[in-house]
This record gives sequence, C-alpha cells and structure tokens, in this order.
Amino acid sequence: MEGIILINQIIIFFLDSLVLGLGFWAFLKNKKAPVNQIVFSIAILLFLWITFGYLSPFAADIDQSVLRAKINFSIAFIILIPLYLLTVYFPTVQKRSGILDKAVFLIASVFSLTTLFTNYFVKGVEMSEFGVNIVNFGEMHLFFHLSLLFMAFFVLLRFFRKYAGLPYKEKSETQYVLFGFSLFVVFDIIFHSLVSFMAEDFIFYRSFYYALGDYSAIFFLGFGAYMAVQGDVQGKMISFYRILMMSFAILPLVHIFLSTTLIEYIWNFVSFSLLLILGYLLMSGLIGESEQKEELMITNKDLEEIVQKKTEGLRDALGKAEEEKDKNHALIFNLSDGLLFLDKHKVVSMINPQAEIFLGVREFDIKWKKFFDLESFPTLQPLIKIFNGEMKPISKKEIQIKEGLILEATISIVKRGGNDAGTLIILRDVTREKMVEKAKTEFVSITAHQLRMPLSTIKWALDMIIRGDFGPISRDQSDFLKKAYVSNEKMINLINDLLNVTRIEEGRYLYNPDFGDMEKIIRSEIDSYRPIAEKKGVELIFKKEPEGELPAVFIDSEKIAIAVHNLFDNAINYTSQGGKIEINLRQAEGEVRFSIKDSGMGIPENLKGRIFTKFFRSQEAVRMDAEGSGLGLFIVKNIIDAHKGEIWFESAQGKGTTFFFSFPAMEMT
Amino acid sequence: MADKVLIIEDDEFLRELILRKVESEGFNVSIACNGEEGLKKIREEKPQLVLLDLILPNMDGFEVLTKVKEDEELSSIPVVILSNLGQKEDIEKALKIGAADYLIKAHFTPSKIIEKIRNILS
Repeated sequence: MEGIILINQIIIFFLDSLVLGLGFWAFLKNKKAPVNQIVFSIAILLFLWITFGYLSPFAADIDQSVLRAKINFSIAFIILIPLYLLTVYFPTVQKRSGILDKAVFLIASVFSLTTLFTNYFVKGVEMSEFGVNIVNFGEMHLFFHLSLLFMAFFVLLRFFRKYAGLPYKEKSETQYVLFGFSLFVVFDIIFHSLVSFMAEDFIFYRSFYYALGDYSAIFFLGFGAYMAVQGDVQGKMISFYRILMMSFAILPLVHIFLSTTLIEYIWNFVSFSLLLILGYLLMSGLIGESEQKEELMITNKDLEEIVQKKTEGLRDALGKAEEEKDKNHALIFNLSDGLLFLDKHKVVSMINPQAEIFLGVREFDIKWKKFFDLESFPTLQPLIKIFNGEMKPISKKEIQIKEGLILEATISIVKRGGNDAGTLIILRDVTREKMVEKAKTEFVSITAHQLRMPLSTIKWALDMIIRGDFGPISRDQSDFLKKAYVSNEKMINLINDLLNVTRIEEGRYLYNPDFGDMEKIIRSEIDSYRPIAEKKGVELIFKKEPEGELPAVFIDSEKIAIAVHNLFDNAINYTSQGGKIEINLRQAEGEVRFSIKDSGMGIPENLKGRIFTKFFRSQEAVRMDAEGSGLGLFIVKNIIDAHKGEIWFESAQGKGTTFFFSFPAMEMT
Repeated sequence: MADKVLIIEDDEFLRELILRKVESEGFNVSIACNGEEGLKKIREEKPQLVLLDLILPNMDGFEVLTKVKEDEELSSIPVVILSNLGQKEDIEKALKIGAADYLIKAHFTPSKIIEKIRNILS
C-alpha cells in the first residue's frame, strides 16, 4: 500500500502547489483589485484546508491528528466568508448589505470555532493502514454538515441570481466562476455525502473519495483565479486544467488495478468513467469557450481598434469639414455676388446677404419657401421669369430688378453623385457695366448716323455731277469723281458694319425669322458681284444640292443675306486676278449648309483663332484691302449663332480658304 | 401740268441737291424744312407725292406720316420716306403707318430716287 500513499502524497503536493500558484497568480496580477484579493484568500484557505486534512493522519499522536482534522473542518466554514464576498464583488460590485454581511461572518465564524473547540462536529479520528484517517463525527455532525451544505448553496444561489441579471460580456466572465463553483459543489455532494456514506464498508475508498470531494474545490479556485486574471493567459489555463484532470483520473485508474472483487471493479470503473466523462465535458466546454472567447476578444480588439481609428479619422474629418464649412460660410456670406441656393424641391435653402440687398428681401421672408411661390415679391419676379417654370442652367442672363439695378444671373444645376442636389443662382451687379456699355453703344450708333448723313450728301452730289446734272464734265474729271464715289461707298459700308455691330452689342440685332429662299439670296449676291468678278477675272461657280427647286426655309433672310454678302466680299477681295470662287449650297435633312471656297492667300496658322473677333484684320488683309473694317466675320458669326448654327473654315496659306456655315432649318412643306 | 412733289428735308445741301434733281426731271417741286411746315404744305398744296425725311425738327417724319394717313383728304397721297435711318424696325414702322416706299439715303443715288418716284406716280 506504500504506492497508494505515495500517489496520495504526490496529489496533495501537486494540489497544494496548484492552489498556492493560482492564488498568487491572481494576486500578483492585480494586488489592489478586491476580486483578486478574495481569490487569493480563498487559495490560502484552500491550501491550509488541504494541508491540514492531509497532515492529520501523519500527526505524532492522536490528539494532534484530531486537532488537524478539526482545523481542516473549521476552515471549510471560514472559506464560505470569501466565497460570500466574491458574490458581492464579482463581477460587478454590489451594494453590500450590512446585516447579511454580519450574519455570514457570524455564522461562519461560530461554526468554525465550534468545530475547532468542541466535539460536536468532529469527535475523533481513526488511523487506517493506508495513511489516511477516518473522521469520527460528533453527535451534531448532521446539523453541521447540513449547515455547511446550506451555506454553500446559499452562496451558489447568489451567484446564479447575480449571473442571471448580467449583460452578455460580464456573463461570459462570470460563468467560469459559476461553472467551477458548481463543479465543486456537485463533487462535494457526490464524494462527501453520497459516496462516503454509501461506501461505509470500504474505509480506504471512503477516505479517498471523501478527500476527492474536498479537493474538487480546486475547480472553483481555478476558475476563480482564471476569471480574476482574465483573458491573456487562456491558453495556459487550458493546459493547467488538462494536467489537473489527468491527475484526478490517475486515482480511479489506480483503483481499478487494485480492485479485488467484481463490485470493486465495477465501482471503480464507473467512477473512473464518470470522471473521464465529466473531465471531457469540462475540458471541451472550456476549450471551446476559451477559443470562442479568444476569437471574440481578437475580433473585439480589432473592432475596437478599427472603431477607434475610424472615430479618430472621422473626428479629424469632421474637424476639417467644420473648418471648411466655416470657411465656406464666411466666403459665401462675404461674397460681393449674390447667391441663392434652391434645394431639389426648389425650396430656397440659402441666401447670402448680398442677394438680400440685391433683391430687397430678408432671409426669413423667403427661406424655406418654394421659389416659384415667391412671385409676390416684385424684385423676385424678373428672376423667377427667366426660369420659365423649369430648372435649367442659364449663363449670364441679364435681368432688370428695378430702375438702376441690372443683375447678371447665372444658374447652374448642382449635381452630387449624379443626382440633382439643387440649383445655384449667382447674381452679379452689372448695372455700371451695362450703363457704360449702353453709353458707348449709343455713342457709336449716334456717331454712325451722323457720319452717314454727310456721306449720303457726298454720294448724291458726286452721283449728280458724274451724271452731268450740273453740266458736262471731262472724262478725266469723271474718272476721278468715280474713284471718289467708290471710296465714299466703302465708307458707307463701313458705317453700316459699325451700326450692325452696335446693334449686336445692344442686343437689338434680333433674330427675326420667316420663310426665305436660300438660293435666291445667294443668286442675288452672285449677280451683284459678277461685274467685279469679271473685272478681276475671277470665276464664280455655284453648285447646289439637291438639284431642282429648293423649298423655302425658316430663316432671317435679311441677316442671312448680310452673312452671305460679307463672305462674298471677303472671297472677292482676297482672291487675286484669275482666281476661282466656288459656292456650295446643300439643303437636306433639316439642315442648311453653305460654303464658299476662294483661291486666295489663305489664313496664317497663328491667326486662325482670332478670325471671328471684332476688328481683327491680318497684316496680309490690311495690305491687300486697306478698307476692310474687320467687322464682317464678327457679324457673320453672330448671325449664324442666332440661327443656332455653326461657322468654321478650312484654310491653307497660299492655297485659299473655305468658309462653311450650317444651321438647322425647318423647310416649308 | 407736271406732277407736284413736296420735299420735306431739313439738311440744306441735301434739299438743294434733291430739289435740283427732281426739278431737272421736270417735276413741279415744293420744299419744307421741318415737319410742321411740311404738314402745312401737304394740306395747302396737296402734292402728288411727298418725299419725307424722318429726323426733322419740330415734328418728326413718323408724326407727319401718321397725320397724313389719318387725314381722309390726304391719305391717298403717296409718301416716300427718304431717310438715313436704315434699321429694320424703322422701315417696318414707316411701312406699317402707310409709307409708299422707304429709301435709305446712303443706299440710293438721286437718279435711283427719281426712278422710284416715277414708278409710284405712273
């Protein structure tokens, strides 16, 4: 039987070390936390409990042995105090009840002291040959046993009740303690009460099982310590429990081999199997739980980090956005242009102070109101009118808000992510510019008219002299006067151009369409230029597409005639002797396309971009035709623009230029 | 008897030129220097044709034209506008009121004006 004693000693030594180790581990992890302190005190008490229980049979005399057994049992009551405290402090601190505290302290102490100093619970011991002793209980041992059991249940119940009311995270922490504690109680009941009473005949086994019941407290302590330390040593904990379970399994395993009768075999086998099953369940549950928790912790940690990073990023972004917003706000509110913003429901959501001044309204009068419902404000009427009931981008539309205030409105549709976010209306005060422009235009217009007067007079006088209305003149005189007449004509044309340009700028050069005949316009120009062309030896070729009579199209005939005239003028003027001018008209598919190709000097590459600008004339052009005004193509472009058409040219220096224009035109049916 | 043409023109030189031209073409010519005088002469002399400038002192050509066309006795007298105003609006306005033709001074020579007068009177 020496082997059994040795095994017993090994287990006790191992348990003691484990108990102390767990206790210190929890304590050292955090000396100040109450839970860690409680776990530590439980560990110390368990250590004393196991040690005195174990030392009892090895005492020098029977009295010593009895005392050690008494200490062992009295500690069992004392342990209930820190267990109770654990239910108060773990997992969250609960408000302590003074009466309950005192009751628990008092009852545990009284039972403990009574056990220690009287024979009511532990009366004596009987030494057995196996190195364990059998405790002889006193007359009141049932009361003591039940009290111990009752108090253990009381603490357990408190745990359950507290556990039930916890949020998830704390629940998962608490369940370790709960699980450990439950195991402890269950084992205690099995081995202390049931087995030890049932196996009364088997003194040896009874002692052993009895001890096993006590030692199962290690479950509780282990879980408690684990809980107290929390988290970062999970892997190690699992190893601990594996070893612990194995050491517990050794005992029944050894017992199987020591069995002598069939009943013993069965009993030992069943208890071994039970331990294995319980152990397996415990371990698998624990490992699974800890793995899940680890994953959860990692996930949680990652999540926390991500959330923190995102939060910081967001905070930064928000800060920046706020700053940006302030900046934008200041910008918008101090802008010298008026700004109005309509949201996608056409409700005025922003108006800056300048717009308030322009429109003579106050923010609270129009904000959050439907834009089109604001017609009761006379100053807003012209602005509403330009929308024509729909939201569309408008560029630089002039509106007269009141006498002496002309605004230029630019309307843009604000898009955000492909969706309409609203409409931005920008108002710019152009009153002064308009007045200056008007004054200038009027000046030019009046001047042009005044210039025309004497030119007309000269024209008439020259014509009458040349025709001999004032008597016959010599051939020489006539030639010179004819040259003077031509110069005067050029002057008149220049004035005409100037007047047209002024009217374009005044906005009075209105597009005034009616049905007109393109071919007729072109033919009449050809006819009027034929004498000059013949004189210069320039060939005029006209081609049209399709053949036959072309239907009339919806055009401003007067303006188109001017455009064609100006293009002819250029072609003739810049084509030298013996050249060729090809005119093409194509009228099909709702489009008119005209082109006039000359064999002139062409347009230098570097000047191509400025051809259609006002008063632009190339050096070459000036050299060839000193009288050109530089207004012709500007006028043509404006006319074609008014017809919503396009004008362009192809030119190679020295080879000639082709001017094209095309515009959509409705044909008369 | 030769047809009577009334010239209402404020510019002295132009008036003289056109007067000589029209006279030399064998018309009986009368002249007026402003709108008021012109209207008065139309009423008194009942010419066969009026050459009317538009920009005139006292009463402008449009007003003279309007008054002539409103007067039942005078409305049948053809009035030819002879002006420096060459804009479409002016031309349309004059023709709408009842001008027989509209000649832009700078675009017509005296001989062409005579052609027009003859066309209208024949």
